[in-house]
Amino acid sequence: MNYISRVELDMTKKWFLVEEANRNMNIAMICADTIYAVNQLSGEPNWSVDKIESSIDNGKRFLEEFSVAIQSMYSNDVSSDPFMFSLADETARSIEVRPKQLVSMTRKAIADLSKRLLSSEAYDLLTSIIKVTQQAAIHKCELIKPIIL
Amino acid sequence: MRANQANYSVMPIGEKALREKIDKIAHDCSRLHQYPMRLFKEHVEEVRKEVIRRLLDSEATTDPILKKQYYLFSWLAVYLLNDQVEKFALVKTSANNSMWKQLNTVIDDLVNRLGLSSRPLPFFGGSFYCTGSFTYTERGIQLSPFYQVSAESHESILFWPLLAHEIAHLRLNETDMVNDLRSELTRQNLRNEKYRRRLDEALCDIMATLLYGPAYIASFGTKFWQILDELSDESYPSNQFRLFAMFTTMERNDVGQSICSILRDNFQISERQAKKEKISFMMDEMIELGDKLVRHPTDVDEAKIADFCVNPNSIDKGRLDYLFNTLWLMTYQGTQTFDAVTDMANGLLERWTKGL
Repeated sequence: MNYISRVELDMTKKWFLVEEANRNMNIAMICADTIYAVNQLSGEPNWSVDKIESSIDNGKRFLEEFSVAIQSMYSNDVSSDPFMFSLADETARSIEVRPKQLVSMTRKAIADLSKRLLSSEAYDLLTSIIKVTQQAAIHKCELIKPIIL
Repeated sequence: MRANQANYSVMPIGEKALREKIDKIAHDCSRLHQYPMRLFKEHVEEVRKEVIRRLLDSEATTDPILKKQYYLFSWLAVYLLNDQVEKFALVKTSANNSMWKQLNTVIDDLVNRLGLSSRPLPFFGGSFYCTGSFTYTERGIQLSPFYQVSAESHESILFWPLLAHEIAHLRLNETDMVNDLRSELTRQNLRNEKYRRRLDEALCDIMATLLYGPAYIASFGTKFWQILDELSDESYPSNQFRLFAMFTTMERNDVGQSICSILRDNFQISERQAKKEKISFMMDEMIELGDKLVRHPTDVDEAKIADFCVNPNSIDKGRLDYLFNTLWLMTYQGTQTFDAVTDMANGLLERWTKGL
């Protein structure tokens, strides 16, 4: 591969890397906001009621999408986009559970959020997703340009 | 115990440093009043406010995992913003380039014809590419998208149809209509992210072809034909497939067929080779989606193009698709040298931008 073509390639790839870093970080933020919003229901809130409610709803919506992505790992009738699929796969690996177990954990978390609660299992699920997406986002940033000296 | 008991005493200092950094960036941009520079100032201010908000959340929460996440988000936002600042220096330099207005004319044409929500800041850089902050609007995150697009400096204006491919990436960022095709990839066991990237690249080629017709194929083929076969990067569809999809798009829309046949003779495409590409089974759906995403596709009339080849000054003002196709036809027919056609393109576009 000559120098010029490598430069062309790197620049176009950068588009995808920034996009993928953003996507991962957005999901980490949705999960973090969901936990923080539920925490604020039982104490002195820092956010407005609207912000708390919409953060919990965003978390629920994300988990519903996440649940579909997990199901696509074992059912041919269900499909999801490759990004959500690999997030589901990575999460299942990181907490060492089978996809079907992960679906039931996710459904339980959705049910918790509907009641504006967060069990320790739901908290563990959300923080696991945060860790997986944080790692992916930082890895993409490192590929964009070196982070460490 | 719900979370690791890490020592986060370093966090407040890190947060302070980040806050100071974003304030400095915002201060440096605070004197940008003129459009399109003002767009960047507004973007920086928006990011600054969000970073400050998130640093406050980081300070307020007692959960170490959330603390770290809010800090990391702020860090990432500043990291990406720094990259945009680096590019913005090129925007400022580019504003003094004699081709600046012409570049903006092409960008405006593409933004309007694709119905993009946010106008990208263009600049002259080392190659044709795009960057920015893309997905803040997803799932309740509030920031608006911010885009930067580079045109290769010192490259002939004849290659500017390649900008259509870059702007098409931005359009894909603003739609969920592509989700069905992405899901189809997982259904077909093409789950690696390289296939998603290939799908996006092929879709952008199709959209660029719909925008500038054979002129996009000529720009792409002339610039990359000799190089792409030597590349082995898996994030791109095969060269044969990319060109095959472009020609098929023109054929389905019955546009520019005689110009395409001249180009076909030069780029020798094998349908058999093209169909070896793993994502080729979705080509029909990709073309269908491209048709939906391009608000105003080209309708270049070849009889008119033939007339314009004799008298390029009569090209309708603002019709960049006619301009680029006329010039590429002259080049491939050999009626004018490449240099002469480039000069002609510069002259015509300069007159149009001056409103003459």
